Amino acid sequence: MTALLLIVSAAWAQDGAKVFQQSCAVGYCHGTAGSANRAPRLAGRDFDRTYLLRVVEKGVPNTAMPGFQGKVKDEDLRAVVEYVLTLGGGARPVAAAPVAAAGQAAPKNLPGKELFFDPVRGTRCGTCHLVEGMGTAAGPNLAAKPDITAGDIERARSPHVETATFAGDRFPALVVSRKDGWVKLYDLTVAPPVLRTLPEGSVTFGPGTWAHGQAAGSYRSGELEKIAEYLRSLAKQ
Amino acid sequence: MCAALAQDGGTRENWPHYGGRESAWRYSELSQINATNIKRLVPVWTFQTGDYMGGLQSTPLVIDGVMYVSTSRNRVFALDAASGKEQWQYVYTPQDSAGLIYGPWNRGVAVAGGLVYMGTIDNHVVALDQKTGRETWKVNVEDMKQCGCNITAAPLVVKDKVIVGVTGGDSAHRGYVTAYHAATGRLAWRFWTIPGPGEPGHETWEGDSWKHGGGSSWMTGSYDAALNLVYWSIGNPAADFWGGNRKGRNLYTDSVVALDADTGKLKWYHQQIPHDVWDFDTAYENVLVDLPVKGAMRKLLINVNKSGVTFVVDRTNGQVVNAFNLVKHFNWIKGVTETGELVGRNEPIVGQTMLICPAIGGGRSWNHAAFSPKSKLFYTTALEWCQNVTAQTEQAREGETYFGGAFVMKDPPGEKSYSHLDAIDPVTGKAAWTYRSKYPLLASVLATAGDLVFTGDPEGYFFALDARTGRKLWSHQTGSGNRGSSISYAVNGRQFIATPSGWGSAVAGLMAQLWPEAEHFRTGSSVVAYALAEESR
Ligand code: HEC
Repeated sequence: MTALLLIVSAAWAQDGAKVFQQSCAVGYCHGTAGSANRAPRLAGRDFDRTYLLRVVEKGVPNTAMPGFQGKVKDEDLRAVVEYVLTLGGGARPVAAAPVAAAGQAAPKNLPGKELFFDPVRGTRCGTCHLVEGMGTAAGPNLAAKPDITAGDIERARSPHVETATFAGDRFPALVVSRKDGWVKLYDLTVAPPVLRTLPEGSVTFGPGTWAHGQAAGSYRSGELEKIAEYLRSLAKQ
Repeated sequence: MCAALAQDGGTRENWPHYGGRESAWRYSELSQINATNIKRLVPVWTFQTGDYMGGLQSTPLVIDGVMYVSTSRNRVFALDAASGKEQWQYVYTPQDSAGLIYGPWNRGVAVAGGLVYMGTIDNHVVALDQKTGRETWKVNVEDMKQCGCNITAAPLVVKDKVIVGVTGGDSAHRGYVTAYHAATGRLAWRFWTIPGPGEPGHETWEGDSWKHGGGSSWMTGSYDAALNLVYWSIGNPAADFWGGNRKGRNLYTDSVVALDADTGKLKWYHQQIPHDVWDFDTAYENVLVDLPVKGAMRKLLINVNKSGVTFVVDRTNGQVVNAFNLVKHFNWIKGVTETGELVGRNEPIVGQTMLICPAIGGGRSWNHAAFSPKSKLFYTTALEWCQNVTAQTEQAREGETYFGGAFVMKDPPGEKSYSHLDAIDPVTGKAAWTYRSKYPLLASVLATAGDLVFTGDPEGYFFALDARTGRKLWSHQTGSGNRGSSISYAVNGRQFIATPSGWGSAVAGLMAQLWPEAEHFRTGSSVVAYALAEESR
């Protein structure tokens, strides 16, 4: 390692301590200076730099460790890796960093995205559509529509939604699969849609009367405009 | 006259609900196994689930000789409750490999109307066919990345609805309790734990803080059929240690809410900690008991707050009957009055490191207490430990951790941390006896009509105390630490005691800061069932 790189690493580790305090030591996670809480102890362990960076960026699948790429600035992620390295194999942990001020580096969301996933709305788009890995994939993929407009959303048709009858109960249904005598379908009576598995022989299907307009009806057309803009930006990525 | 109205909250052959019955006594009326013959209690079968990461925190259910048990990663097994033989298993596949903010762990299923219900680590509710384990319906409560929440608690079935709570109290999250139609999975109602604009209580939140104010509903509620009320405990506000941007009482965080079972409408609430800045959730079980108070029978609800302060309220209206503290080491308040008012708050200060007792792991953890109508005693664990808290300001990022500080576990002043199991009068809080443990007791308590109290410890010992004296009568090494909830049931006239064994959980993870050896406590995931040796019955 060159001297210059060493100096850079040391400076990074200082910044990294701050990032660690804010993003890693919090709550039940890795604890002050990596002393371990709900997540494993990081202090006093030897880590490989490349390995650490990968874990910090991508997270560990099926565990509580999230990937921080895109949520925390890249240089901060590199800094936090340098800091964690100082906690390992005998190196003394740097003193606790001064507490950070509020109002830093929140990811910038498109307003359209916020509307799509608006948590205060019972029937937000995300209840039925999966976009950017979030939501439920009952409705079709909306991330591949470079020309979508608010009008397209307003007029969205639902040709695949049928009316199912099961045990005397009639409801709008979108069939997902038929296998081994069982039919899997989304029950769209109310949001969120329910994925039901029913014995194929005892469900009958008739023409659908479900209207997408009522599902998307909690949005005003100005809002649909913003959502369309967001979806177009996804298609261009 | 009073005797005719006597409340029945005990279980018999079956253990039909998470808390035993909907009143959450965790008390069995069975007495074949008792304080006299317990020396002859032997393990009769062990079932290894194979799903050991995170341990086993479940409460098994038993219905008509079949045991239903769920594991940390949402596997469900149906077992012959007499032999432990597997009848079916259900393997859950989470929607994607999204990070788990809370978990992996699961505390149990609900069974009713031919279906087995479970909340999942990726925030779905599934209903399985009770006979085959086949998935009948599945609904996504909310995208877990968005709400920063999932489900670890057992659902509560009330009449034709299945009711679930979610985690999320340490996330930028707005909590809720949701009811689904049990047969179809369709949404029936949702109670938001933080009132929205225009709703009463909204004014107890500053600015936009209500949108990310926490108020999770992470444990299972109770139900009173006569009053048709569901009682749910609502967790801490977020950020946990910093309240500078959410001035006000922050309703209905740290409250017990009574909801109309059919509509989810709020009937009454009792807030235990206005504007909590210690992460002392109101989250735990609501034990519904009818007891005399100053000569008059009252319908009571007993709730242990995470701080160890225990509130006894009238469950018809939420009026406080008494409040008392379970722990010796506390400095977050100076005390609590009989009417439940907190006195002398000691709040974390931004940028300062302060010793606060008890620690975030709680004056008690979520593992449940038991009530015996025979001894009229309430059996609960308690934890004596502290922490250094450093509060910090923090900006909410939807669905992500929102904690407002960090902490390091510390021993209480002048003493090594420890734990105890107390037998107390549930109205006065006066202890009849106390049992001391070196390590935190983090398994639920089971009380039986055989004058026995069962629980387990982190080293893997499952043991029985005399319900009247606290004397240890029996113990068995289960192979892994105990963090679940034991039950009792009977098959063909033979009484069984069964306990989950499998060390894990968030609070278990904190232990190593105080007891370094705890880092090496082995995990596992099994159910061990005990009965009297055949010839000695
Ligand atoms: C209650 C569920 C639900 C909600 C809420 C919902 N959708 Fe849909 N959406 C569907 C279903 C189901 C379909 C497809 C039906 C079919 O293929 O027959 C669909 C189809 C669409 C289509 C047509 C896609 C195509 O390829 O033709 C668009 C565009 C669309 N939705 C956009 C939106 C937007 C934007 C929102 C929010 C404003 C929204 N949806 C809310 C369920 C929903």
